[in-house]
Amino acid sequence: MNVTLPLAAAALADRPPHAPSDEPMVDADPYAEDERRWCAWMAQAQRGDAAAYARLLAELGMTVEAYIRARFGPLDLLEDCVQECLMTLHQARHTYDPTQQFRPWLFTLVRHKTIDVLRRRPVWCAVSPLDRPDNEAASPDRQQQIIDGIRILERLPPEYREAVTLAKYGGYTTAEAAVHAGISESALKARLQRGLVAIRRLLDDEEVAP
Amino acid sequence: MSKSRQQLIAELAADAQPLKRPGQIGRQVGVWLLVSAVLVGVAIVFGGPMRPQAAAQLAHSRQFFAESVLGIAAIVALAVAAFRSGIPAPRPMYRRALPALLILAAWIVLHVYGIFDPALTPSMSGKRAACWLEALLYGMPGLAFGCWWLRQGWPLQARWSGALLGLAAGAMPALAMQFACMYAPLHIIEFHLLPGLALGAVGALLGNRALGRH
Repeated sequence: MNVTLPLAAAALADRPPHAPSDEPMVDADPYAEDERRWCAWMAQAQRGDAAAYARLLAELGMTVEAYIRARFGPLDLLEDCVQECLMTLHQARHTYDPTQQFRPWLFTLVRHKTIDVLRRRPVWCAVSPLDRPDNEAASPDRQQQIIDGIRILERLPPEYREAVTLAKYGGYTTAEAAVHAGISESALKARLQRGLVAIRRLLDDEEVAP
Repeated sequence: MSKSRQQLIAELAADAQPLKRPGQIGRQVGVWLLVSAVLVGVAIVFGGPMRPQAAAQLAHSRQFFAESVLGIAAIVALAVAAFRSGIPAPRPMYRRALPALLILAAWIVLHVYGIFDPALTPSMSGKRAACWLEALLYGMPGLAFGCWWLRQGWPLQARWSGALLGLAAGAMPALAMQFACMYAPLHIIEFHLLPGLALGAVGALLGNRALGRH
């Protein structure tokens, strides 16, 4: 399968978290190019063109991977997440209107599915997890190292960030994470839940779409 | 790209076939409004007596006219918001639903204002025995029909979609009761509007069950 690297995949990964909406046109060009190509391929796919559809899914797979990696870091469920997103795009492809923009439709589905996958999994199985509580490497510095590489955590309020980092990236149970954070287990569960809601809001508010 | 992803893409691409799209929002809303209005209209007419001179009152009282127009606007806006929610779009649902909810709130507020300054002289003329039950039941077919249709789209927030649809479906008999049942603002709020709002809650539950597959 011959696939070109989508320009937006790279742009998505490098984009600052709070990119202003009135940014220069230079940054918008890669999106416009992808937009035209994807829109045309999806329109062909809706008419039953398997080759165009395969090209589209291959490009979208890379874009979705870059999108998730940039926000959540190198998760070991990344591939699962990408494939679930592709399956969702497949099932919902009839709802795309070729007269409308493709990217807002795409990223709405991707955001929704990503959060869904992350919420369903008890632990996100970070590739470089925090060490266990009995090891002194589970220090605030170690947490900070992980947070630095994961854009979405940097943007969470500190108390939610700690809960999400420990319980989802660190591989701690909620009871262990609560001990580590110095709060009750129910309080940690509440923070974790609110942290996931905050992540969903942050993703919703991102201006990924032009 | 991993082998499993390549294989998945090959399988999905092999499944590509011409698709039937759910249709334009305007058309969906139009058909839903028409079907629901006919169902509610028929049920109201056969369910009990109509208030005499209701149509004439519409022409004579500006406030009553405004109450009716706001009711229609609320139903249309809620239906549009509900059917739009079947197409994935970036704005969060609460923001997309806000204009429709504000119109609905304005309709209710106008009736609350009517308690102190009624549009028409309150009277028992046209009173129906169980108007609250009628208001609740007559919205159900519209809600069920709307849910069935919305399933052809891809509602990402099923509870919101169901609630909006329930409110639209519930507002329709509430509006019809404005012409069929007795006119008294407090009675309208308690026995016509509240059952309509309750249908919003029913819609949220139904939506969660019927639309929450994604």
